[in-house]
Amino acid sequence: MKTLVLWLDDRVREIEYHALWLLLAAIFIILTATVFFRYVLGSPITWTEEFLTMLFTWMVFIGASSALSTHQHIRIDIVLRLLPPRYALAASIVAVLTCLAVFWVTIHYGLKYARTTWGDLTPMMGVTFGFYTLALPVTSMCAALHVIRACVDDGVRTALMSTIEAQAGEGDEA
Amino acid sequence: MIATLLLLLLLLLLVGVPTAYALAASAIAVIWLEGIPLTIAVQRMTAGVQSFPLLAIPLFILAGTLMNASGISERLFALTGALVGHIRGGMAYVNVLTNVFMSGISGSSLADCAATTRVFVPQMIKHGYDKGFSVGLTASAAVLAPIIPPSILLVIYGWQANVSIGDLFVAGIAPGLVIATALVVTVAVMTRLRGFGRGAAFSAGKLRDAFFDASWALLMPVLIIVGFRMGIFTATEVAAIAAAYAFLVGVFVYRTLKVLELPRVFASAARDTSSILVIAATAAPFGWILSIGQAPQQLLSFLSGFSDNPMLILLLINIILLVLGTFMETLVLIIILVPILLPLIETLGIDPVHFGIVMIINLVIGQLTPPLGVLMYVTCGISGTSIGQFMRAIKPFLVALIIALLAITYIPALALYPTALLR
Repeated sequence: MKTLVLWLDDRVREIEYHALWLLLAAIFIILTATVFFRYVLGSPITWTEEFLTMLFTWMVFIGASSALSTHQHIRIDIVLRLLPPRYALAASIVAVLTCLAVFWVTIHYGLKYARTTWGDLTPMMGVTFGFYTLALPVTSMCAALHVIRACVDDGVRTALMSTIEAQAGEGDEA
Repeated sequence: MIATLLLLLLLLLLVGVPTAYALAASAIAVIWLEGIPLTIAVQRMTAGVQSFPLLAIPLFILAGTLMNASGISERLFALTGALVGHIRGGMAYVNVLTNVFMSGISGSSLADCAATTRVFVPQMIKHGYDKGFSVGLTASAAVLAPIIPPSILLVIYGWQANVSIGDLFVAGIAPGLVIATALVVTVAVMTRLRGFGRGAAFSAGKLRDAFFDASWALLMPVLIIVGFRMGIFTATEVAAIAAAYAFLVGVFVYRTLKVLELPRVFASAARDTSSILVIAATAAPFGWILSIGQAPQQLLSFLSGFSDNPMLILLLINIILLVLGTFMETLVLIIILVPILLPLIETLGIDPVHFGIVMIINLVIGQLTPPLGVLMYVTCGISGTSIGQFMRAIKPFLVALIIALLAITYIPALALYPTALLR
């Protein structure tokens, strides 16, 4: 079971990494090209705004999930450091369960919402709105996997640790 | 409803739920308790980032990341060192000045202060400055990043307040310089009191070399301001141009960016963007509850109970923001508070561009103090300084920053005159 979770999570991490840089590179290239076409060639491309917003939505949600796996997300840990270990563990369990509950809602209701918007078409490109609405539930599955993996791999206590804390932690040791 | 929401958020943040998911969880819980269909939460979150102006953020972050990856902080450090390193207290001035330049390239204080702490603190200690002073100054100077354009926080404010991001960027320049001046004055006083030493002697040749070496980077803020000045580029377009410029300079001029490294740089910029913007997404249902709970109206009637003098109310708001800023993430406060405060600001006849600058300075100063000073944690963490040592050293800088804040609050022309001039 543990090996399966680790294996699956590693694959998801790889996919996220490549998706992230490709998405940002695509946004960068398309936007630069749009500026070039509009101001240098004088013939604006009109469909890009919608397409870019779509890539951007995916990038943000994939990045949010990926940030959980690399511990680059933002959180406040001041109280956790002051708590005695037993309570700190209890707090960590509550925090992990809260995150998983949020992911359950965003997956379940996200898919429901994606189904209801599947027939709607976007105004400029005329593709389904599902391209927007699927981003949240799909990436929430990945995010939930990352959190579960972190719990299985290094324990509940450090599962939601962020690198900002790790940097601050260097100070405590010194 | 609002009380439950805020209490839940506080509780979840305290047990260590990541900020984005604490906002989502508290909003989801209240929506569920009120018997509203939960689909609305999901719908608000998705819509929260479906915004074209927000695309400026990944591109400004990319521009900053590319510039950093091509070793810009070392180049700027060499330039400012050659410029002011030789005077008494030189290293401290170098620190402030480098931060002014860095702020014109990068839009976020956290990224800046991680880089400057690594470069400056060891250098300053080597030149005989004490650790607390070095770290306190480095953290205080990092406050400049979100005020001098480009600025991620100003993009978010502009998006929430529906104000031109170009106007906000131009409005940030003079207040940024006022803050830098306040820090320089503090350094001058401290130098006299403590007798700090000088760096290497001045050399015109060294300055010329350093200037040419750094000039490509120095052109970037000029490019950004000129882009807005011409009035034809939107914020997103200017951000794209800045990123393209940073890319070309890094790959072809400095040649420190290797093509094989680019995916890693891009992925890191994307992740940094997302860890910020996912909060914009998950704060959307939270903000929605605040608005249907009539939070803006309640605040308006509460504050106007004190006084009807705009200056007094602005002072009150300043104090509230300073206090809130010490407890909460800047970005979260902007996303949540701007829709609540804006009706009040407009009733009082305060320009939303001016208010944006004031608000962000307030909130960023809050990052320098406990309990939740991110700038404090990062600079202390990287340099291995204790919070107590930091707190003793930061006091004079905090006083200087608050004086600068009051000046910027009560002299609106500092922010607004350049904007009017360039419009």
